[in-house]
Amino acid sequence: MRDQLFSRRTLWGPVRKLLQARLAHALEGQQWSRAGELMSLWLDTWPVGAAVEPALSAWLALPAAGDLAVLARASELACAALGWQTQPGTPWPQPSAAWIREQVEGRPVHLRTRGPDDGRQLVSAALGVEAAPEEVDLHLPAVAELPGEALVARRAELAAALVRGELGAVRLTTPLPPTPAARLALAELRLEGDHQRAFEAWGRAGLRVEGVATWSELLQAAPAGEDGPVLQATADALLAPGTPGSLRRGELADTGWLLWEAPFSPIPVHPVAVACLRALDGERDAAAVAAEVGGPPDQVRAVLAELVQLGAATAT
Amino acid sequence: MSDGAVSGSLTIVGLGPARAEHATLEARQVLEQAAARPARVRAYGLAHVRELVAELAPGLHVRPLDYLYGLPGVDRPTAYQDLARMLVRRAFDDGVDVLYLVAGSPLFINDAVLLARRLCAARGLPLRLVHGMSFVEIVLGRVYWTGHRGLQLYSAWNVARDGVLLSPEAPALLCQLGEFSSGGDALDVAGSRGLLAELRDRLATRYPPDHPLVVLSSSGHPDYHALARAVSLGALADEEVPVYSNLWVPPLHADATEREVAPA
Repeated sequence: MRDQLFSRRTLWGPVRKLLQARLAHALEGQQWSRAGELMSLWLDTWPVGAAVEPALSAWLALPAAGDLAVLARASELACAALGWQTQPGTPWPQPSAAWIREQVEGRPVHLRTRGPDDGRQLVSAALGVEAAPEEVDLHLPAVAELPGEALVARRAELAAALVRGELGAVRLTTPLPPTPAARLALAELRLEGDHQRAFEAWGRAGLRVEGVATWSELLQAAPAGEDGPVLQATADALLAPGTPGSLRRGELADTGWLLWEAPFSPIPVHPVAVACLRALDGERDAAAVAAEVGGPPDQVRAVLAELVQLGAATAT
Repeated sequence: MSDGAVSGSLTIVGLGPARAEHATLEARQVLEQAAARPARVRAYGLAHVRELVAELAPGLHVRPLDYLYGLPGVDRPTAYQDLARMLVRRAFDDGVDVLYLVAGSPLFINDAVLLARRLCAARGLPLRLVHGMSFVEIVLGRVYWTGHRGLQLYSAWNVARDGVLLSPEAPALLCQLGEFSSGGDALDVAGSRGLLAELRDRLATRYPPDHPLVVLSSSGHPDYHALARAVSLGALADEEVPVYSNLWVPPLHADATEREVAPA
């Protein structure tokens, strides 16, 4: 599952296509909040697809929070596209039994386990096999579990254990009470536990990294291109019915998007910019582009200059 | 804490008001020694302090206390009290060598430090203070304080909303001019004009509308130049002020010296 889902081929191919179909369905049904969410996911297939394989390789070699953030976002894209649930409290996929059976069809199965929360019940039930008693020891630090309402009373003891390294993180099995004392207690666990935030974000995988990163923090701006008389496109340019925010408000308007198959932030632009970018064929100059899109040459030159600055076009 | 021997320590270090050059030699030594003992020492501080430590003692990990300002339903007095208790517990119950790193002087308007000192005193626990230069030295550089009539030092909030009355015969330095919530939150300069208007009205009971004032602020990273803007009392609320600005209020009856703005 890991190697199939966390691949650029999957994210740029079936996942993007499925998300686009779900987005169209949400728009037809005027499910605005859902449409905004799906738009955000769909846009992210470009940069996440570019980042996912390097992140997976890096994760397998030397786990780091940034790589886990990429894999978590990839998992969110895949789950939303495929209609899968995520494992409780984590972004990791919980595929259907049918999908699991399909993956191993006709092959003998030996189910090894990797510790708590490794999905053994799901796989075991789907395939009708028992998990082997031995576990792969990942040398993960210990996790304490307690109800949220017990946190304030046990705060000092748990924080001390985190400081001493006897605990890796604390899991609250019920919601944290909305009191200042409870919020301050959780804040101390996050302050002292090097894995606490990562554990909260990513489950047990977070015990292998220190600190936490968010997908949006990892996105960069595309580097500016080089200006010149003849330009070529360095980004995909697409028209969409809006931005994630405008769709959530139920406001539809043709919006251009600059998208890179690289870990760069998608950028919304005027639809004219999309037309200009699409007219770049590596041979036309600005005047020819203006003629192609039917716009005033001065305006088209300004748009092209902006596209170069945004890293969506560069000199041939 | 148990009644047994104290195995940890609590050191509160003032790193000065702005640039790394403002830190004392003692503060630098404490940071360098801590950086050499990462397994034993836990250091805590806010974002500005972490920037300073990155210059002064690269490699010393400072745990971020920024959460103190972002917990819903937790006001600053409660957060500071919690922090003080946590630092004392970490040092003397858990046996850790704790560094609490603060900007400016630890003794100037720092509730968490005050509480930690009192907690330690009440329990007979040792606490080391490493003094730092306060913001007052920086802001006084743009006015001429003679010292002949003393100096009144309050937060702007004290005067605007706590009923503190200034003596018009002595100069006053009102700090945290941008504050606008009872919790001390000063996160958005747009909120500063409300407090400024209240401050103006309170001061107007003792000073004429044309009384000269000086708004003192910082140019910010990286140079932290002291900025000064002269303004009359009547116009005090006409413009927003940067967060953590200060207000110089010259005495009513004095020679011109304390009414002048000094060059940068």
